[in-house]
This record gives sequence, C-alpha cells and structure tokens, in this order.
Amino acid sequence: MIDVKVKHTYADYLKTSDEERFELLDGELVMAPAPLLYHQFILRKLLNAISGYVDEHDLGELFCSPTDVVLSETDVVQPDILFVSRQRNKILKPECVQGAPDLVVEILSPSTAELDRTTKLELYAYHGVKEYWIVDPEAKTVMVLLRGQNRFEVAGTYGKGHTLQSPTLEGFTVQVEDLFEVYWEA
Amino acid sequence: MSNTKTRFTYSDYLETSDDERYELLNGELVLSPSPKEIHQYISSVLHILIGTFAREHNLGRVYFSPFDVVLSDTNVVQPDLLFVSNERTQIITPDNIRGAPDLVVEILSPSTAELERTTKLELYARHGVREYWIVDPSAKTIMVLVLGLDRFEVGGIYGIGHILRSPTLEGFRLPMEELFEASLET
Repeated sequence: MIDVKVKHTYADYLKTSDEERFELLDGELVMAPAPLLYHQFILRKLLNAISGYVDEHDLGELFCSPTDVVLSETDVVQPDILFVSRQRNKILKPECVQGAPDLVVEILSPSTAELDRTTKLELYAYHGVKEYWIVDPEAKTVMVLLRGQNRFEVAGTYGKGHTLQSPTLEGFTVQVEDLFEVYWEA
Repeated sequence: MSNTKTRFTYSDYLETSDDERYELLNGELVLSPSPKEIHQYISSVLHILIGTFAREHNLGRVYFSPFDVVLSDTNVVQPDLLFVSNERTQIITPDNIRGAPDLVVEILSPSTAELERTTKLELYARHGVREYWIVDPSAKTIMVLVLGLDRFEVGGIYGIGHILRSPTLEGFRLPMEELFEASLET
C-alpha cells in the first residue's frame, strides 16, 4: 500500500494497481474514475476524425488514454487523446511518452472537470504542450488553446455550426456538432 | 450564422417585449431564459465581493444583469456582471453602456453555455473587453481570460483551493471556496 500523503514520483506511480487508473499531478496520486459512456462516445468520434487525417498526411503518432505521459518525475498524466509530430518522435519510449506532446485533448467529465481545467492547464503550459483542446460535453463546445509566450491563448472556441481548425494539425477540420450528436439518452 | 436571415439592429431590439429578455448577437435576437438558483446565488456573491472591492478602492462602477451593453448596432448583450473603471466612465449613459466594459463576468447555465463559450467570447475579444470571466457552476471553476493583441489569453483557471486574482481589479483576491462551498447541492 502506498501512502498517498507524501510526494510521489514516477517510480511510485508504476507500483500502483493495474486495476485502477491513476495520474500523478505535482507528486499527488489522483485516481481517474471510469468515464461515462457519452465521454467515450465523443472520444471515439474525435479519434476517428483526427486519426484519418494524421495517417493520410503522415504527420506523426496519435494515442488515446490510457497512455502515460511523463512530463516530469512528479507529473504523469493520461490525456484522453495526444498527438506527437514526426519531428518530435524521440519522446516516444516503449512504455510511455517522455515529454510534452504537440497536442493534448481532454474531454471533461463531471468528476474531473475541475482538475482538467486548473491543475492540468498549468502543467501543460509549464511543460510546453503546444496546443490543448478542452472538450465540454455539457456545453457541446471545443476550446482550442495555443501556447503563446508563457501562457495559453484562446485560438478559437467552437460549437454548433462551427468548423474546428487546429494550428498544429494544419488543414484539419471537423464539424463540431458531429462530435456530440447521439441518438440515445446521454 | 446564415446570411439569408434578417439582421436586427439596436432599434429593433428596443422594440422587443419587456416581459422577455433578449440579447442581440451578430444581428440575431437571442432569448435569455430565466436563470436557476445556483446562477443567481453565484451572481449575488460575486456582486457583493467585486462591488465592495471596487467601492472601497474607488476603482469604478459595477453593474449586474439586466443592463444593456451596446457593443455595436448589431451586438447588444446583458452580461451577468460588469465593471467599468473610473477612466472609462464616459461609456456609461442613462440607458446603457456604449462600448466594451473593462471586465465582463458570465455565469454558465446549461442552456447558454455554448453561447458564452463561443459567440460571446469572440464578440468580447473583437470589441476590446479587457478581461472576461467564465464561471462554470457545475465544474466549480472560473476561467479568467485576458485580452492580448487580438485574442484572449488564459490568465488562469481557478477551482476549489485556489485564490482567483484579476489583472483588471488589481489586488482583488477571491478564495474559490467562498463562492462554491456554501452553495446548495443541485
């Protein structure tokens, strides 16, 4: 059993049970609960849309959660989706991504919304993630943040009727409402 | 937005029924639904805290919805809360605010979340609102956006345990617990 009060490192993180998903945020082990069905639905739609584009243009590698991203000894996250460009594939290791992905996508869920928007935003900005999408299933919007000098800038916020564009995945577009449209009670 | 639709102007807006609240966004009349308890609770706490701070430090004036802000002839909004600094009081008229407030606060509700995150964010940036807070009652976070060269930058995202700071209201501190911990569970 691991004492969750002390500051943990990547080595401690690797010892956690495989049956539960954790993230390591500023030395604190945070449990990631199983996501809602609607969260997973949006994840698949997004992945589908991005995956085709990335492969077609041979841009780099795309991963989805659970994939460990080791930002530092005390910061390990599992973004919902992450993209690493070809030029930066040195950060791909057999067991994890060792450094900041070019693009990170987080889909908010009620239990993690606060974390995703507060702690993780700072972490991603600090460790040099170039682009960060915050997907809000409730508002049915995607906020595209782009790293400026030392903080994220709002490159665009997209909702119904909008076409999302990504500075990192140049030329990529997706109709935002297609990501959120379900034919069952979500 | 469809360009085949009629674009309304401020004079059309003034003719709408007083029984219903509208905003005019890019020439389109958008009905504002009656807010929920959590929305009004947060609005009242923020009004007390920001209003008191602005008065004590003699910084300017604070208003809350409904009060018209005329950004242009086709854009009229009623922000949940707004602040106009002493240096810019010439934009205050007996009927409305004519121009961009220094600070605008919008509290998300399920029916308007998309609008606040997309259309209004873009409007506020375009018309030169210096600082925009997006309060998310379900995630219990406030995103503070600060106008950069031509787009908003993320000044910070604050959740429980954090102290919000505002570049516009220099010296203002808001421990987030004060806002969210006392609110009723919904």
